[in-house]
Amino acid sequence: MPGSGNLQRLTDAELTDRVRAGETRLFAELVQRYQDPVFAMAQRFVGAPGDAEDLAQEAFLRAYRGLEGFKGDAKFSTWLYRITWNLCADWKRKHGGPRKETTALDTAGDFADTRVDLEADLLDGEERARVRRALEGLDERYRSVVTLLYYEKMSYDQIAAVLDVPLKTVETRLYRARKILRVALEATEKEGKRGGR
Amino acid sequence: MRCAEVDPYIEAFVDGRLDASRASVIEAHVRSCVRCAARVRAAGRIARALAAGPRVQAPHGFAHRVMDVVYREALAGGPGAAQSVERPLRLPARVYRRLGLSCVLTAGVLAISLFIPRAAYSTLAGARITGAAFSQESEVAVKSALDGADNAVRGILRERVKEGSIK
Repeated sequence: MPGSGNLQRLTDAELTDRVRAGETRLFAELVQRYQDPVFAMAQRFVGAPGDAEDLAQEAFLRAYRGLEGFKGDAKFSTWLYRITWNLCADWKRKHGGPRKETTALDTAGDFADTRVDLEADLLDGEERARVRRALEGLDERYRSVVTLLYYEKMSYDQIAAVLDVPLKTVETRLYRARKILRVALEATEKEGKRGGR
Repeated sequence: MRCAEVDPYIEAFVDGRLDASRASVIEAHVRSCVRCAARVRAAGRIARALAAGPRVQAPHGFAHRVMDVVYREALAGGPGAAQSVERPLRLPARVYRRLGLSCVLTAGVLAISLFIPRAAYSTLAGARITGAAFSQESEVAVKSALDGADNAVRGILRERVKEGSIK
């Protein structure tokens, strides 16, 4: 996309104002900024990359169509993630859950991306798999906050806005989720030791 | 600080979300408490295991495909224009009922006018008016004919008188 160097200096609020004023091409900068996290959130829900792309595209189109009504009282990113989250929730209600392709995503995690913290390279891949299996077993209310915090790298305030719950609820759910994960991790570790691994 | 007081803050401490003063208090307790230190290590392992997920990127050309649709909508008349063109106009139900009734009545009148014979229509429409017109015309015609005949006879009689045939 041409001229993206200058556009990177503009804030999300400045970009949305100018798109509303008629500079449609500037919406491309917003798409490029958030296409990865939006697509990632969609793929975690739906599994198949094709479906995830459709869902992510729909999220951006709804954001573009809703820009006139976007008052700017929340961050554009938070608003966009909320649109994406709601689309994912609707998709899940319709289809019941992700397709088999998520197994590829899970195993890909064992080959840590070089851009991730170097310490991650030293972690036991089996431990990561154990934690993720425990995560899949969580109640949806707890899994959603953990996913948004660790996978989508959102702040507590953003998570509260996306899920449309109070901040205190986010803190409580995170506390309980981690407690369940910790207990599950300790249980699988004990089973592993008993099994003589 | 006691373990029960530290416990609610351990996750936030691991995430680095505590303010500096509270974080230093928690750190001081963790250094001296085996149980809480184990809690912090476990929380850290979970956080790192989750955070070390694969970096997912949008497919190549995704932004171009999104903007393709955005530009089409903008050309069609702004955001949502494509949607509004596809959405059909919906009127209240009573409007559709009245429209239907009008169509039925109009069809009925047309059917009656097309299928009833013209003679019967004439009779129905007003035979009295037609008869009166006929008698009036015929009266005029007869009168004309008599006048004509009368003039013709008078002419002949005048000539005969002139000739002396008739005295």
